[in-house]
Amino acid sequence: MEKMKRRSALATLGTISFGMASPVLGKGEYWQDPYKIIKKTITTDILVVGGGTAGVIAAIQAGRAGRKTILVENGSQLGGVTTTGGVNFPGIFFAWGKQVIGGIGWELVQEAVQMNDDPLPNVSIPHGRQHWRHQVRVNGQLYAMLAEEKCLDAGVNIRFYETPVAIRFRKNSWEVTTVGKGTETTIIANQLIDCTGNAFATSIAGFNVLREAETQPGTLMFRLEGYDFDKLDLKMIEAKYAEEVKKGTLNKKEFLSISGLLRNKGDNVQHIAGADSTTSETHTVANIKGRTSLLKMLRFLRTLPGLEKTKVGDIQNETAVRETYRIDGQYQITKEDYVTGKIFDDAVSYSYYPIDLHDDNGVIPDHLLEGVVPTVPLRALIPKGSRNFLVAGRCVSSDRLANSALRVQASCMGMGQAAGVAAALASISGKTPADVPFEDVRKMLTDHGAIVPLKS
Amino acid sequence: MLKSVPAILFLVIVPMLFVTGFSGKKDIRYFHEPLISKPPDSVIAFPVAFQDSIGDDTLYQSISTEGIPVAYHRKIRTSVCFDGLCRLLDIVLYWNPTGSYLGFELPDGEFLSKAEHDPFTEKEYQKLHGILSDSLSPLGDYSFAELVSGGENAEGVDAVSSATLTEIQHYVIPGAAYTTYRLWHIFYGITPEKITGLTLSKFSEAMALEILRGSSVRDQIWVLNNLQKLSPYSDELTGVIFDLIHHTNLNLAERSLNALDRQAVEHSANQKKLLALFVHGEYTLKKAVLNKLKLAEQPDPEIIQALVDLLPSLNGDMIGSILDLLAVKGIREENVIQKISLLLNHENRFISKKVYDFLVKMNPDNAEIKRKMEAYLKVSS
Repeated sequence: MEKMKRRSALATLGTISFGMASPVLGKGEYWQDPYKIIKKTITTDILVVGGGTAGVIAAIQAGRAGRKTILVENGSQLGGVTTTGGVNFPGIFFAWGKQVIGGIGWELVQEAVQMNDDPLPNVSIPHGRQHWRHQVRVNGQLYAMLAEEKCLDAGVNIRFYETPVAIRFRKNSWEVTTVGKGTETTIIANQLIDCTGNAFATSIAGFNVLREAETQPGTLMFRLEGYDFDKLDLKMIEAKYAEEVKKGTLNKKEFLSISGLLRNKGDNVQHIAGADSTTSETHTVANIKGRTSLLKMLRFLRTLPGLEKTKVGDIQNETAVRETYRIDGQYQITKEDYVTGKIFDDAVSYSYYPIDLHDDNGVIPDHLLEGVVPTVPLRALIPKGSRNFLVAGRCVSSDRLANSALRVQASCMGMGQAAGVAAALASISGKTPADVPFEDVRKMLTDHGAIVPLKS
Repeated sequence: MLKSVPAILFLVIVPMLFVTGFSGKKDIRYFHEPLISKPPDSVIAFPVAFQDSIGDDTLYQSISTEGIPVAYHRKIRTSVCFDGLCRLLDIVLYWNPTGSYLGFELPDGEFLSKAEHDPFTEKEYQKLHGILSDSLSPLGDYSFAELVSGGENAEGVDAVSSATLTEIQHYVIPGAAYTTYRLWHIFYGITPEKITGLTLSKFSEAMALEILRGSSVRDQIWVLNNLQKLSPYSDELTGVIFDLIHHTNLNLAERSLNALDRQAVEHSANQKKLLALFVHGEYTLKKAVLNKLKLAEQPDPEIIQALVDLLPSLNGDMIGSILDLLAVKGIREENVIQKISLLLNHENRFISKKVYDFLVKMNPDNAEIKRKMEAYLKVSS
């Protein structure tokens, strides 16, 4: 018994002295090697950069066409402006009573609507000047999950939190270096689709991109609650707001209509000048500006009678961006092309939206004439001088006014599917997308439910 | 929806000597064709808390001899003021039983007036009828104060035509902006919800058939969205639903397909109609057709065979949906599984994987198919 006690005491002493030299590991703990960037090289048929509105559709399409596909997204979920940006009312899929954009984009929207028991707009009633009446409200987070599920089902390898830092064309393939959390990956892809919305990959790859001296403002989407709009003294509120604007404590350009802000309980009502999502730095500025602007407004509102209990019910994580860079494509869609509904020989998708340029004074949409449905040619998705390279989404080659309409979600989805098909066929046949017979593009798009414009 | 209607404190059945309006004779009355063509036989008054501080709190339901609600109306009495002078707005507003706009009429001797109390012209009444018919009017997007730019904008003021936002001017009667605004908001405010709540308690096949055979898409969709309450349907109603499934209006076609009930899908003849829709119909409806076929306890073997024969011509996503249908229905016939297994070698890896996953799920006994599955696994890994 005495021996046992001595042995036990010695063992304890040993532990104490060892513990002085280094910390004790608990059960299940282990020492991690110093942080190292994991470097690897992977190959694929098609790489889609950007998992937003267009990129998701492009990736699903490429996967369903049987091509090995990687989707790189710098955020934490898919869907982009529709989900992370909170602009969860994609449109417009119908024009003049007929569906003009279908395929994978509509499939996703339809499933999101059904799973949330949401209503579809009755598109048989013309929208008149209220085009938003034909947009489809979806649950953004549900949409993101469904998009992810469809990507996985199509065999798409999703890589979140990654962004390209170098893009080179070698041996008829693109060699794209991406960095992410603890990763540096070289992705060798036969075809590359830039769906960043900012023509970011296009620019890194060395092709020309362009932008306006002044771009459209961005918007931080949010929802207010805690007041009864019908009981508010709007005249008094307008006057108080005007006073604050005059004093310079609030910026009228950020909230053009305080009545609109209160009536809509937030939503798409704020303008953040110069919002640019191209780089971490510019996007950080846009996010901070959006939140700072909202906080100022919230503090002001809570000083007003009837609004003392106003609170933020919900707020998006990012300021959504309308306009940054566009590619210099094989064809540039002009406003004239758009408003006359020109049907191109290589039209891959329709687009339907008013010319919709937001500026310091707000936006007055310029509606299309009855019966007009613009189209998007494949050439507008191909940067000049490129091979095995496509873009889809708002960075489509277009002049500024045409772009103000082309940039919306349904159109981007249509472009995404077209890019996915063109890239898949190019990959299968070992060609560059411009050399793929257009009838093959049309057939595959139609087989996958897309609506392809046809000259009558 | 009926729960939102306060308890019915009284229920008065009034003989049709009491004028219901849409069939009565009035000097100033503007109506669309009623959705239900049956003549009203009696009127039931429901006390309803509208909470819109306009008119009384009674909603009148006109019903036919068959007990079908054919229309609703409210008697509105409210003040409209200008320059401190007020006059009474006395009007009767009518809705269809689905809550859609039907029309309005003015009691004997009454008329609508503008600023300076000028009476509406015939053209202005027509314009008002058109404005009130527009359920998507921008009037729904603004508070009245917002319609008035600058200056005085107190509620009750009606002479704001010059100060009304330019884009809104097309949607109001000049000199009677407030009247227009208030009337539109009464028509499209809480009242339609109260109406549909009452209608649903008397919803019947006869009513559904009459509306579905009409031409108002908005009302047809309302019926289709509520049709499951009438399940199981008669053959007549099922036939009408199938007619609408082929409508060129995609909203209507999709809602009709959605409304088909399990009993309808059990019939082999209806399954064949669905197959035809899958083959020839809009792409957008194809998945919904397959989902509808899942409702059938035991899909017709001919339908299954036809779908399997179609597989090689379909895209991978659609193939996946058909395989899902077969798996859900436990279709394990040797010849079916055999045909499907041929697609294991498809050049499209998305398709071959769908087929492999299906076969794993079905775990076929056939040795040849098992060998193909092993071969697939080797090649794909």
